[in-house]
Amino acid sequence: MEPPNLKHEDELKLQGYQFIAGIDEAGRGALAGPVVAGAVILPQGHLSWFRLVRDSKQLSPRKREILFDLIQNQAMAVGAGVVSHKVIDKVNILEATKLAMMQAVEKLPRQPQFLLIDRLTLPRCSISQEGITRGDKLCLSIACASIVAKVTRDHIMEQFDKVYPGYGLARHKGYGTKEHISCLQKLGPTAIHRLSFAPVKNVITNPGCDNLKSK
Amino acid sequence: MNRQEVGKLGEKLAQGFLKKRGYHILETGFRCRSGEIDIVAQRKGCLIFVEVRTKSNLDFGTPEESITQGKKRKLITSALSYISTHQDLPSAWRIDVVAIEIDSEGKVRRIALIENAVEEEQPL
Repeated sequence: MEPPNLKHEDELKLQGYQFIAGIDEAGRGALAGPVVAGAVILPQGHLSWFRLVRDSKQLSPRKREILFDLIQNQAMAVGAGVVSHKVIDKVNILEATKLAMMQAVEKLPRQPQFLLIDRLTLPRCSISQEGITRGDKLCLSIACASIVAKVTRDHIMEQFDKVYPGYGLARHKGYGTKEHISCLQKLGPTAIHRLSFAPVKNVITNPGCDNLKSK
Repeated sequence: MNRQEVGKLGEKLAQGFLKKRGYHILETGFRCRSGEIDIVAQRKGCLIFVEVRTKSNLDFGTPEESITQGKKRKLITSALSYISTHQDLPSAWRIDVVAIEIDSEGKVRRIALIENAVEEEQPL
């Protein structure tokens, strides 16, 4: 498969849109911590690092960090939205994700004229927009937004790891790895766990289940 | 000659070889967390990262063959690191390899330039 490109952006520019933001989210499936969205308006022209951009899941952590710095320094505008586990538990993860995306757009120092969004659309946002299936793999602005979202969230989770040690949050970033689930069963949920998510809920309603299993 | 000496000699030979071919050498031995880039050069508006591979003994394969997937990945990440730490670079760039075979006295038996030898891995 081809790496992400600027086809969507170029087509929109032909239609007269000048500032086009890519939007993506990170941490939708995690059991703890916030859901984070990134928004990126790329600069005009073609920069040397564009061809190494992939969706954040396909990059090594080291490459992701370097690209994150390049995006921060060289993009026309960058924004990030962070929505906490509490809001996720209250309004459900899909709505929380959209909220994070809206915040990321609002944080952009320059108002975009068009939004290219991974999978979703934002009905409550008045800016013209398109949801693109597999947008993070197809569209360069969305791929850059996925890097902003992922690295921002990873940094937050690394801080949470210091506040809530013993769960390995710095490693798995709150996702439901074997290590994380077994820590949850041993230590119970922390203040940043998403109580509405089934694996966390199961631990609360069934606290002794790991003992049963070991017998 | 030991490994270091072979490598040093190879890098010197490669620099001369590249200059003759119009490569303007910007930097040698660029180091970063991901590793080292032997030569950074520019030619016709293109930024070129050059990996020099020198061999005095072909029992374990040619210089070209000695670049593993892991080394390729490191070269790409190092190139990215160079790009992120330098200003006013051309937007076009590539990674070349200079393959050198020398005999036991240090005389060149073969020197070859492979342009665009390392391409970034495609996503799945």
